[in-house]
Formats: sequence, C-alpha cells, structure tokens
Amino acid sequence: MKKIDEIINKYIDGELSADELKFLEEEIERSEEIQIKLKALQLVDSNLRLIKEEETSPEFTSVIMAGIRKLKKSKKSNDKFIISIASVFILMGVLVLILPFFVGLSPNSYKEEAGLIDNSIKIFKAILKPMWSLFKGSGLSLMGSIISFGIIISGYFFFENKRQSKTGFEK
Amino acid sequence: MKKPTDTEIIESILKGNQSDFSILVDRYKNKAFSLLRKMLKNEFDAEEVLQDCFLKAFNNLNSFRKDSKFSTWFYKIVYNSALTKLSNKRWKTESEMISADEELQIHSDFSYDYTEKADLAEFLSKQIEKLPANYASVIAMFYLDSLSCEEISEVTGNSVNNVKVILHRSRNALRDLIIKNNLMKEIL
Repeated sequence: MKKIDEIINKYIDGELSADELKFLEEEIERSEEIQIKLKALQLVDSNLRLIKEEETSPEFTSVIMAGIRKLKKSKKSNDKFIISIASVFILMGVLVLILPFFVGLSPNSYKEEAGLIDNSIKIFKAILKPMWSLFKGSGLSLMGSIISFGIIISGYFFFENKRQSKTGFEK
Repeated sequence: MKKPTDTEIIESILKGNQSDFSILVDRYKNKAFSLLRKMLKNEFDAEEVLQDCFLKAFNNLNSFRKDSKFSTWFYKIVYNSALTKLSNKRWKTESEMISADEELQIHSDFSYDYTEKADLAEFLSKQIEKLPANYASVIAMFYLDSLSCEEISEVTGNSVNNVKVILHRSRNALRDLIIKNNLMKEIL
C-alpha cells in the first residue's frame, strides 16, 4: 500500500515513468479505494495551491527600515567610541615616550655623548626609566587602577552598544 | 516598468542605497511570514523572528554570493532562525521535529464547512499548523513559497529524497483526514 501511495504522489508531481503510469492506471481500474485516494490527493494538492499568503502587520516594512537606520546610527557611534578610546591610549603612549625628553634629558646631554650608539642607548634608557617607575611601588597600584577603570568604562560602552543593536527594531 | 531583480537590488544596497532594502522586505515578508507562522504556530513569534531575519540578512548582505538565489539564501536564514526559536522555547524537539521514517497522523478537532471550495484551502491551512515543524515547513515552502524540492533541500539541509518523503507524508496525512471525514462526497 505504501508503494501505491508513493506512486500516486509522484503522479501528482508529474514524476512517473511510463511503467509506473501503466501500473497506476491498472490499479485505478482494479480498486475503488485507489480511485478515492487519487481523487482525495488531487483535491488536497489543488487546495493547498489556493492557500493565501499570510500578511504581516501593515507597518512591518517601516519598522524594519527604522530599525536598520537606528542600527546604522549606533554602529557609527560605536565606531566613534572605539576611535576615541584608541586615540586616548595612543596619546598616552606618545606622552610616555616623549616625556623623558622633557624630564630626563637636557639638550646639552646629547652634545656630551660622542657616538651615535651611545646616544641611542642613553635615549632608550631614558625612555624606559620613567616607564619602569610607573610600574613600581605606589605607581603600580595607580597604573592598575587607571587600566581597570579604562577596562570597566570600555566594557560598559561595549555591552551597552550590543544591547542597543539587539533592540534595534523596538519602536 | 521592469521590476529590478534581487541581485540588482542587492548591488544597489551595497553601493549605499540602503533604502532599497525595503523592496526586498516587501517582496519576501509575507512569504517568509507564512512559513514562520506554520513552523512556530504563533503570529507574535513569527513576526518577531522575521524582524531578526531581515536584520541578519541586511547585516550579512556582503557575504551573499551573487551566483546563488537570494530567496534560497534568505529562506535558509528564516528556517534556521525558526529552529533556534523553537529550541530556545524548549519545546520538545521530539514533538516538533519528527523524522521522515515515523508514521504521521493529524489529530484534528473536526470542523469544516464544505459549502465553498475556498473553505477547504483554509481548513487545510489550519491543519498544516498541526503538523510537526519540519513537515509544516516543507509544505509551506513547496506550496506557499513555490520552492522546488531541490531548493527546499538546500534550505533545510535535508536530501532531496528526504524532502520528497516529508512532502508525500504530509499530503497523505491531509488526504487521510479528508477521506476519514467523508469530505470527498460532499465536495465533489
């Protein structure tokens, strides 16, 4: 019976081979039950094609487009935030690098050194010295606090942006 | 005036005309909504998931390969989002997704007015919602969204043969419902 069911379905879909079609015709002539099954399946198939699409709410498209605009806007502000955070860190790095030139080295100190290599080593040491002092003693806890504060603030804005993009479609 | 193709619309959106996305939304919203309604069996969930689907599609338009069909790509997003929604709701997977090997029967509280043929379509539409999600999705994609078995196979990740088995079983279950309730004599 399962085989004939499959053949009837294939007939509905127009996928029967010549042999299968011949077999089905013989079966239809032989059995009233198969006639009923075929008619019922044809009825199901034709009526399934009559089912109308269901419609979304009338304002659906405008809600989507408003959500996309909002998302684009929040993406822009997200980019601005990342750029500003990156700028702060770059600025801090640059300050740390140039600070020794103003604090540790006078212009005359360069003249006192004879060779280029000696000069370079001196500059390198001068850069490292104040940086190293920042991570020693009370400086370490201060730097730790600054970095932790930076991470907390960045984390807050990051998750806030994520939350806003999730609720992008809310009116 | 000639309607722009999906690919032309996508190219326009990627060039910066983001408002053109509304053409795609209008083109696919009702078809995708019908599919989601049949799978999730809930209007509110269907609309909410559909909103997410359009957002995902918009955000991933860059990754859309132009040699494939947008409809198939989009239905894949819709189908997978519906499955995620179903699993998030912790509905029993066994009752929502039965395999193609299992026997399928629809238990219907019978109420059908056979005075007009159009009513039978409406009646069948309601019966589809009683099918497990994977069966309902195949019927909806085949009849409401006019996808071929090959396209449905691409969307669902099932083999074409498996899709055909599910389609046949769903139709047979609806057919048995009609025979069982003697609707044949009344309608024909």
